[in-house]
Amino acid sequence: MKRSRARRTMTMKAELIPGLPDCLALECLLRLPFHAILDARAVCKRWKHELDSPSFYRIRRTAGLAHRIVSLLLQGKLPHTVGNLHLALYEPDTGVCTMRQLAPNRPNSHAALAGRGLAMGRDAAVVGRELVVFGGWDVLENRRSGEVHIYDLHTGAWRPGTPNPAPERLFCWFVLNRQKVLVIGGRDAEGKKLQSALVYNVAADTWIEMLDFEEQKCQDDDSFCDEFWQSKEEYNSAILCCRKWLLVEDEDDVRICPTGKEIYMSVPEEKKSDSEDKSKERVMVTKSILNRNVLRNLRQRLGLRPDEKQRYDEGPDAEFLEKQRAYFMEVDAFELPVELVKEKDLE
Amino acid sequence: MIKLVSGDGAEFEVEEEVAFQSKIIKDIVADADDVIPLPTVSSKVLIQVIEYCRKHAAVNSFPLSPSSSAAAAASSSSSISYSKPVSDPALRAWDNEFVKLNNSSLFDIVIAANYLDIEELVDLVLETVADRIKGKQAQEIRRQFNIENDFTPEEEEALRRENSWAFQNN
Repeated sequence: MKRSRARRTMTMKAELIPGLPDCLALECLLRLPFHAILDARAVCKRWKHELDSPSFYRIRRTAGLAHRIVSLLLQGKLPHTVGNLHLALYEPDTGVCTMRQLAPNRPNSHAALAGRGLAMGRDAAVVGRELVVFGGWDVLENRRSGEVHIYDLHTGAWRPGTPNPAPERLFCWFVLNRQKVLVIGGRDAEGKKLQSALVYNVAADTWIEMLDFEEQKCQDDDSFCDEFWQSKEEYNSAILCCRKWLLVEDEDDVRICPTGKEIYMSVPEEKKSDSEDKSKERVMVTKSILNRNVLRNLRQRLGLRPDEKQRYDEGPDAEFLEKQRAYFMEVDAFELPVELVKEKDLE
Repeated sequence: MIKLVSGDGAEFEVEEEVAFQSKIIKDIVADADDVIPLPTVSSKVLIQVIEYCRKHAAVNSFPLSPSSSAAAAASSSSSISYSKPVSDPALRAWDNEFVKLNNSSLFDIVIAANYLDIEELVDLVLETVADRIKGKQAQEIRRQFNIENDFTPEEEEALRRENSWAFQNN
């Protein structure tokens, strides 16, 4: 498992970690948990260079060092945090939960939006390494707004996206093939259910409307489902329970159908043998992990564990923390034990 | 018994199963003799590595019931090369004590372990170093690992603005 990328990094003089050969130092960086990467980027140029390179994340995944991460976008209800987006990152494998404040660093985004009476972030999806935050509320006009902001989860940088042409749609999204966000549902001005779907291509920054989406889905079942879902049933049940939970640094074959209260994760079961027909591959659906561990972790985070105290010593006052804690006490969305879900429960 | 000779000429006699924690030594012994010079490894480091191997050889060989040896045979026959996490809690506690060393000692050990191809020990040390990086801010990481900050103040300010973490009022 010795890896070396000497050729690319030769132009840079300094060692990654003084005293350690670069191939070993890189292995250390590869073992960093996702939440530590943002800080590590700020150490020196070489670290930033390594941690920003796509190959770093590819190696992490192929070496099995990437952890599955579930993230939740939180918007503060309290005066201190109104309009401030926070991102909770939770690693089910290790139970570690961390929080980031998403402070847009683009002058034309957050502060400017607030000035215009826009609240950011009504919905979001993770596409590849980016968090796509859709829409908000136009307070002055009293209607939904179609803003799109894209946040790089590795670098913490924001970029603007093309606004949603139909912001009044009720959002229900899927991520297709780690590239596109599919937006379905919603009603038109007369309250009639919309039959079309919107597809946002994140890399190309374009919106495309798919007309007669429902019909197409029924007629063209196989081709559509093959792309992403195992079966029509799975697809349909996923539509029912899709909301705010996102997946970061995931494995390709894990699908996630989040709801307000729990997430359904479907992981193809390990194949017994390679010769087995692929169509017989079973999909195990688990309803899990947003249990009280997450809540406890979030609370601990807010209550500051001793090893993190120093870091926040100059942070907010006790009253603020108390209010934050009270806020999370209200969030009762996590109190579900891990359990297996039968297919009929999903329907 | 196998004789290991460190870079500074010190000789260490170790049992086969201890030395064979190193895949390199295992390969060498298979087609050569029993005195193995290790010119790049100092005796100080070699003592520590042998200590690790002795402990792990003892624990790994301890339960010799038929079922476990069958399981071991099954696992060794599989081609997956990922090292398994150490499952024995006592051994893990011992490992945790073992790596309570300063960074430069740890680096010396991991370099030797990498050279000798002792995968578990390499993993253990790299994991430990990663643990020492995580949860720290850039400034602390630099101090601990003696890394020079080569960002300009402007670049640093831009990074700081990007990395705006939870609950820092700004």
